[in-house]
Amino acid sequence: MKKILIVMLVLVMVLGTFTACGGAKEPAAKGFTIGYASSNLNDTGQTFIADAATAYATENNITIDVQDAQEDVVKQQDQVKAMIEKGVNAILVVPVDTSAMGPITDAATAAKIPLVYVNRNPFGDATPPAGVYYIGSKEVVAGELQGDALIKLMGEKGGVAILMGKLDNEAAVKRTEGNKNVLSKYPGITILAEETGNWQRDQGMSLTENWLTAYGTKLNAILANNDEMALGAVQALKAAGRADVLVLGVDAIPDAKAAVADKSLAGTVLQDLAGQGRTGMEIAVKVLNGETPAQVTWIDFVSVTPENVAQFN
Amino acid sequence: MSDSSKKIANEAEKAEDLKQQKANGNKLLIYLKKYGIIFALILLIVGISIAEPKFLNPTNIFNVLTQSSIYGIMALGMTLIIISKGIDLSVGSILAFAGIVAASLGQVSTATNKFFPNLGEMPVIVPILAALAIGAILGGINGGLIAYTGIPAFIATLGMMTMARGVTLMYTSGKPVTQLTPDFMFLGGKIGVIPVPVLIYALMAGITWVLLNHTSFGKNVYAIGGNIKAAEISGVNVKKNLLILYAFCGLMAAVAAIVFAGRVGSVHPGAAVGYELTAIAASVIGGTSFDGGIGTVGGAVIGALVLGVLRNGLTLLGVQAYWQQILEGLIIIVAVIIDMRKNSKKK
Repeated sequence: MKKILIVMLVLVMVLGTFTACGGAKEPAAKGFTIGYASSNLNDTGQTFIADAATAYATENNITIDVQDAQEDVVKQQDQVKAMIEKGVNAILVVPVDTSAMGPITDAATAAKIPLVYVNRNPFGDATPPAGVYYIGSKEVVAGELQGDALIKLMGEKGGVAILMGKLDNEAAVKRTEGNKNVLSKYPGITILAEETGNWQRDQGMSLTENWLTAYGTKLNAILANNDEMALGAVQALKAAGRADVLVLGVDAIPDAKAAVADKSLAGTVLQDLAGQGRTGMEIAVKVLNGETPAQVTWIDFVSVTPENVAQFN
Repeated sequence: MSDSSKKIANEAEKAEDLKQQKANGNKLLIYLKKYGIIFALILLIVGISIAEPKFLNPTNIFNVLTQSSIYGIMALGMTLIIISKGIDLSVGSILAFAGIVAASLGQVSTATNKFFPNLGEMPVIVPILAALAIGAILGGINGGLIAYTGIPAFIATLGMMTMARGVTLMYTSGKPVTQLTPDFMFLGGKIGVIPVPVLIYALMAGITWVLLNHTSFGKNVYAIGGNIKAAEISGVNVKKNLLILYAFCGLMAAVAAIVFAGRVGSVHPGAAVGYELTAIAASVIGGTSFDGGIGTVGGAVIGALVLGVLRNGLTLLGVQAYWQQILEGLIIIVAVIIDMRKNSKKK
């Protein structure tokens, strides 16, 4: 008896949580319903895209159904298929794995539902099939902008370490590639190390502490694939009393902008994530209204420096 | 490879010798036997120092200790759990939730993204107590589920791992909490040259050691891990002890959370993903056995240091990032193989 009670209690609690946070609250009376399949709402950057898409939906009386795949590609497929079953008017997807989007693309095109990929590009240099769109930024450009900014600040020689994101993420690979595209042009620049901090601040901090031991004054700059790791590096440098090492991040999160303003962070690169989320929704609505937008839309990166940081707040 | 196999043979021989000398009460040797992995740690340190003498710089030694302290503290609770033949997969998520709540209560009043806009600057004891309470309560729920519904620890803590992460994300809508008060940051800072996280780690290790070796609770943990039915028959209140045990493990995760927040100055809702596995690895490298009933606090500390030395050393040596993961995995497996030999010798 006691056991049954406990089981029921747990069930009620679980169901309670599900209904409490379950999806759309807007009435579906007017306007479209758009499904939004996020790769991972655990990722700060992804919340900016999802928030912007949701804000656009609220402003335009669109019902948005936000789903979180938590980096699980199979879960994402199931979520998109469920959206198709439910009969949403259009679907936005931030791919968990850009190389595994075939089934989602096929399912949406077969059901004749407009599909908009956001942030991560499943098509590489190819054009998406009819009815499929992509909105994003070229990650390699972020790495190049970071490299250019560093050269401007440091000059054409010095030792650089690269803090990489998760090694299997396209953003980590491409941003690092962008860094190297620039740095390799200058024979005076040595890349001392490239290691992964898994996008996390604490790991960026630990790696920087270890680099300081390993390379000492030979280390002149750290390029981080994102701001969280860059801020970890800044903290380690502060603790070690090394104000001379330049650190640059990517993403322009609020914390990083504050650090750029007080010059503890030399710069960052703004990936206009909110712009991606908004534009993704705009493209979907345009298609639903019978217009024919471009199939691929690039949103620009912007270099954020102490001089121009004020305009991004 | 022949060198290392020779070493293993040597070690086995030594273990045999130790067995005989045990009767003589040679405490140092008994200690060495108990922590066979200490040889591996010393070997690792010697090897890395020869290849890169900077390893032995005092700052670097303190770096290694500080970097090991977060999962080291988690490994203390984990070791007790594994001794009881249980497992706790939720400590990484508990760290994130306890840490983010502590951070939200410990922001400076001028923080740009103030989580509680109307809350003034709190004395640092407030976030500390909040974190500890969360850790103990979530851990207690784990223990309660395991003790009173009889579901396996793996399942109960797997559920908690997922739920606590979800709650963490919900709490801040996925955003990090940053700009903590100087008092809070002190917990990740230094007193003179000694890093505060290392002091906290040492204190926690001491408390856990007393708990495991000098209280009836500690005896009960070993008894439950050795044979849960026998423990029950001999009058151990298994349910109550499991509840306390998992609450303690949650508490340690919360202490780790406080160190994490103080050190990093910010807590991200995605923080410490996978740290439960690092804590388990540290326990296991330190000689804690999944068969239950075997394990020590000293071993847990050594295990955490092996991982810390390895990660730091590989970076100092400039080993490629991909290789670092491969080597870390290998070390875990080799350590357990060596340790199993030691245990089978015992029987």
